[in-house]
Amino acid sequence: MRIVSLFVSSAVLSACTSGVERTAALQAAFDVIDAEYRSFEVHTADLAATSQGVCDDITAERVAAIQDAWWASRGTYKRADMAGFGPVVEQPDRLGPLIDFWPARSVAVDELIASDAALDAEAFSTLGSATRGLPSIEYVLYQPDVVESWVNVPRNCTFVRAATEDVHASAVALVIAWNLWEDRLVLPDGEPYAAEQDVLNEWVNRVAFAAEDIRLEKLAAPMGMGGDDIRPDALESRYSRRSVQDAVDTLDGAHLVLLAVLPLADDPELVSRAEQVYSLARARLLDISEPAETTMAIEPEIVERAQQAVQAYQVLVQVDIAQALSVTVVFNDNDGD
Amino acid sequence: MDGAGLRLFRWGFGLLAAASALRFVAKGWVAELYLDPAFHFAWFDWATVPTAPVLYGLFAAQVIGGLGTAYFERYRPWLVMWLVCFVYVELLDKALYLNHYVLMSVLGIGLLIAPFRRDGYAAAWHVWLLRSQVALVYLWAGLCKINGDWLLRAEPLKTWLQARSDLPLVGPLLASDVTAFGMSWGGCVYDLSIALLLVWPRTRRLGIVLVVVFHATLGLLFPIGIFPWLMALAVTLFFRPSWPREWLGGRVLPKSKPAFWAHWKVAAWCVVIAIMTVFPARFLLYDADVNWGEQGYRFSWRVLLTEKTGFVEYVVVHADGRTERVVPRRDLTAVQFAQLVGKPELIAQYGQHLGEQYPGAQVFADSYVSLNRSPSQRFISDDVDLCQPASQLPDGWILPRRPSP
Repeated sequence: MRIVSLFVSSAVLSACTSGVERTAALQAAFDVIDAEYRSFEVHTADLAATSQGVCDDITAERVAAIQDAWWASRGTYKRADMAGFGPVVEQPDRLGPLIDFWPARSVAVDELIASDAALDAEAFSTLGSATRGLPSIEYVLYQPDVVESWVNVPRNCTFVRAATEDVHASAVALVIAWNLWEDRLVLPDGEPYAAEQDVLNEWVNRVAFAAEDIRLEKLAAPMGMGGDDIRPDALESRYSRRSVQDAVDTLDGAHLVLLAVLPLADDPELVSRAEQVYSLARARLLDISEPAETTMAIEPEIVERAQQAVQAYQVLVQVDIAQALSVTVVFNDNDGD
Repeated sequence: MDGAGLRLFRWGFGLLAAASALRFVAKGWVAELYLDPAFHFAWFDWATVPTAPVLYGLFAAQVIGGLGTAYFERYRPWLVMWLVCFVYVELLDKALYLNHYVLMSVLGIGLLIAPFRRDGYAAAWHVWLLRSQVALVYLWAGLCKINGDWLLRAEPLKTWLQARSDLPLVGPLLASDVTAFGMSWGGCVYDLSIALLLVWPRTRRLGIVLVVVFHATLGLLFPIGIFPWLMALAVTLFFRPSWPREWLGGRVLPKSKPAFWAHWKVAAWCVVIAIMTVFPARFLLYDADVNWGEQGYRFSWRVLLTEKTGFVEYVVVHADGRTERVVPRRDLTAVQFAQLVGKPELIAQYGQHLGEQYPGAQVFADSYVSLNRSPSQRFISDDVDLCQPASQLPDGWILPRRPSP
């Protein structure tokens, strides 16, 4: 009898701690993305503000300032790239395509600029996602001889001004929508997550998918099959030469979320391994110099090393960490494409 | 001996068989698991998924066969119908293998050879054959639990229980290591002793209580389908043969005269029992950790022993030297993929499938696995071309498990 009492009291004691830790971990993961979205909102406000007034006096400095603001906005959004669920994809918000529809439909953007359709925030809010969001802005903002192009065709500038306002509006909506998901992601009790473990599954799977997308979508797809069929159009952010940084930002954000939930595994050695493997993957990615398509063509081994390092990170998350956290591996959104 | 208990077992078995098939249709699993997937890990080349009407027909036949087995005194044609359809469906995809479906098939065969007599008596050898089969399931399940992962690390139970820790009331308790160790040791002792407890009349009541508690717990914690029901039903085989008459207050048949067997019958019975006993030990023929490489794993009553997570992709080297990475998850269902990552045989079979898709190409697996929370390691040798059946692959194609630190 005494043994049974001892058994039950030990179990209860450790169980109470565990429940609190899980909620705290889920809150921490939520907060990581929340912080990025709030930062995104601030940076897009700066982007929209920087774009105002430029069209009256287009100079290289002013365009460069917009580019800097776009770069910073892009960074914060990509750091939250792994959170491809909730208001990012679910109706009625479905804000992801409005912010990061990729690849930009350059023909559609050119047609819009060449037309006499209204180019203001209100008009943008009625457009489809093909001509909205950061990739469309990048296409116009980083075109060759951008200043001259804007001076010759002022609607380029007008497009960017309206598109940046539109992205900022989406960023504001995203912060609000994300916070409406807080209960579902921290104290789940229904749809779409019935229990804390379901949310944990979502986060850990998303971290693994982020790594997989870096390997297969951001690096392998542009590399082609044999190294002699490079596909620059499959590179994200290629106009701004931000392809590698996009991948690094995605990895950084995913790793921050991982660190938020990893304490639940109660395994310091695993945390240490995660840090090591992440650092190597990050370093290998940064070894790829821009333009990425040139490195892919001339020094494919550098890109392959980066792929291997990111794969090691994915394996650690999908195999070791998933098991340590009792996570069920599910399917990537890209599966079945 | 009195055949009432055995008859009741047959009724329960038939109803369970019918319910199991009905469940597949009702839950949409026929389409999800058999019709929708683009690829199947078939046991044999001829075991292919038929058209939807035929497949649904096979399930309908299982339902009718199960009900017929339960209802009709001349049950054998119905049982054969169920057995043929059930086994055929089971052969369609290795990824859907379950130990308790094997047990159902074996018990079905056991019932098929039952000499039910019209006067209500049954043959003692037959009851003992079925009892032996059920006892061997428990015994082997218990013996297989005597390993370091299960007893010293409480794995994989610790991992599984952790995932159920958000259950109301009991949930938090499940996250505790103490619970995991308690259940691991308890489960091992239970498996090793339950058959004896059930056979010995003085401990039978305790055994029944333990069976109910054990399988109810399993059923609540883990999605293991009809397994708890099947084992609860199987327990009735250990009751006194006349127990249904006693419970219903009916007339108990007088004890029949003991029948003396011919020597060849005794010998045949012993051979069958010996095969059933020894067959699960065939993993000893392989110089490898059976839970890791899974050679000799199936049909051996190794239950709830492993939790594997893994990563598998394939590198296809085309005849012209170009390489391509294939992500099998994009071609498989979640269930198939979850099985693929931890089973070398399936990894090889999918590699062979890719070889057929790309004639002249070489196919290599890039795979990592973690077993019971041990650090992940490469699973299949990445320089072995998998374009050939698993039985023809060179020694060492499954890399040995590294000892846990």
